[in-house]
Amino acid sequence: MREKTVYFDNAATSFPKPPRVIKEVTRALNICGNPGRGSHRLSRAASEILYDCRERAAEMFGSEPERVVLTMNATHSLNIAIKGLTHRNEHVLISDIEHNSVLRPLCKMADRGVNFDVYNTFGGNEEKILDSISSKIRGNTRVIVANHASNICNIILPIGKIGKLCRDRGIIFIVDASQSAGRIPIDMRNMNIDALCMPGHKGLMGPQGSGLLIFGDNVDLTADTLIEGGSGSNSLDVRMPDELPDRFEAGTLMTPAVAGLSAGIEWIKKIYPEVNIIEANDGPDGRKFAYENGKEAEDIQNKYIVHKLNGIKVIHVYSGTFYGESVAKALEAENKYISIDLESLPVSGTKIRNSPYEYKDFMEEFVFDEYIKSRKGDNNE
Amino acid sequence: MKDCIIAMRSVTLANKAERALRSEGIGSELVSVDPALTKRGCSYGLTVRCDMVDNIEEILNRRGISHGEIIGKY
Repeated sequence: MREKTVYFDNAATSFPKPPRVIKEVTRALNICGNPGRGSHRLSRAASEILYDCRERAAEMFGSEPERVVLTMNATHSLNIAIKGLTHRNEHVLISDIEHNSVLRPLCKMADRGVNFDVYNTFGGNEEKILDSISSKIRGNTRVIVANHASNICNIILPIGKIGKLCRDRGIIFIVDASQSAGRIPIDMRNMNIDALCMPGHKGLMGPQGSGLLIFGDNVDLTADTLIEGGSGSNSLDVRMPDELPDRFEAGTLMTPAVAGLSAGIEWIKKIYPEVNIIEANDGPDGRKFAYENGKEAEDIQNKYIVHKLNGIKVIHVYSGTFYGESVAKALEAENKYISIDLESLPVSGTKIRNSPYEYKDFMEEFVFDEYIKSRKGDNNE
Repeated sequence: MKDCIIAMRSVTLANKAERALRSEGIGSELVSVDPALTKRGCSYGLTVRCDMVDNIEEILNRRGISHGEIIGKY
């Protein structure tokens, strides 16, 4: 019997991909020539695929297709943006929740005379974040970087407000949307974002090997390049072209990956035509209820959810846990399990925590041992 | 009817222009431009009817799509 997979690692890469994504990757492998080195039928087919992706991404994030640079991943995008837009003797501000794909390029730039400081995110308190940024801006601050959403720290930064602050001060604003692209709506124009960096293989549901760097309307298009090589045009000039996107796309692009990314973007747009995010960071402490799996605990959580919705009518509740039924009932909505695997694998994190010995078979041995040790330490079992 | 080529600054802009013209009912074909015909070496362009060039330039300018030389107009 084939082993079933329950996948929780979407912050690393999304899985499984929509069937359409896989189909478009395969189709591209079958019909595409080189997208920027000819104009025969196969070459034109490839360039159409790339342009489709640029157009869809531009529409999704609020820019123009030619300002969408196709990259290998978010790290590639961030390196282009950070190294291209910072120069010797300039100052950069980054948040205290940045990924190494921001920190390492900046440390490299520090070797070349770029200075940087860190602003505090205070667990997501908007007012304190903006105050921290303002207090650290210097006369030579050129760039501010923000990690839009941290899966590690559970913080979503107010990039719209940070963007306005940057625009008011004439500072370039780079956003790392690795965990938010495709999951939280982003409008570059309204949020005053100058460079938006993201992977294609997470929230946008594309394949690995795809990423985007989207430039806003106000950014300097002659930023330093990371890689130089053939661009398919302007071949008499020994320098990379000034125009976007060619300036930052040297060599043959990864058309099959872009085809998949393009399909992923379309899939996301169909699934979430309009997404309203309600942040619920001040709810009842789930840890308190981890060992009290009673109706009282459910009632407290459901009341909190109803309060947060503030009258918004809910039609469906999607949940992969047993709580879904209780929440749906409280909201007078239809409960929809998102994982039918639960029917054949009837276990939840709560059940395991409550009865670890009974559900021992669902844990790796070393996890079980550590968990029992920690419980003995907490409860003197 | 004689054809002209509008040289574009990149294949991306050529795609953008082709779609913009199509949306306004004007047909064009994306082509590689002979490097000898442009100042920039290898480039892409759109083949269009020469008698439509003025109209096409107006459309491209209105939509903010920059272009290069027009080859074959005169």
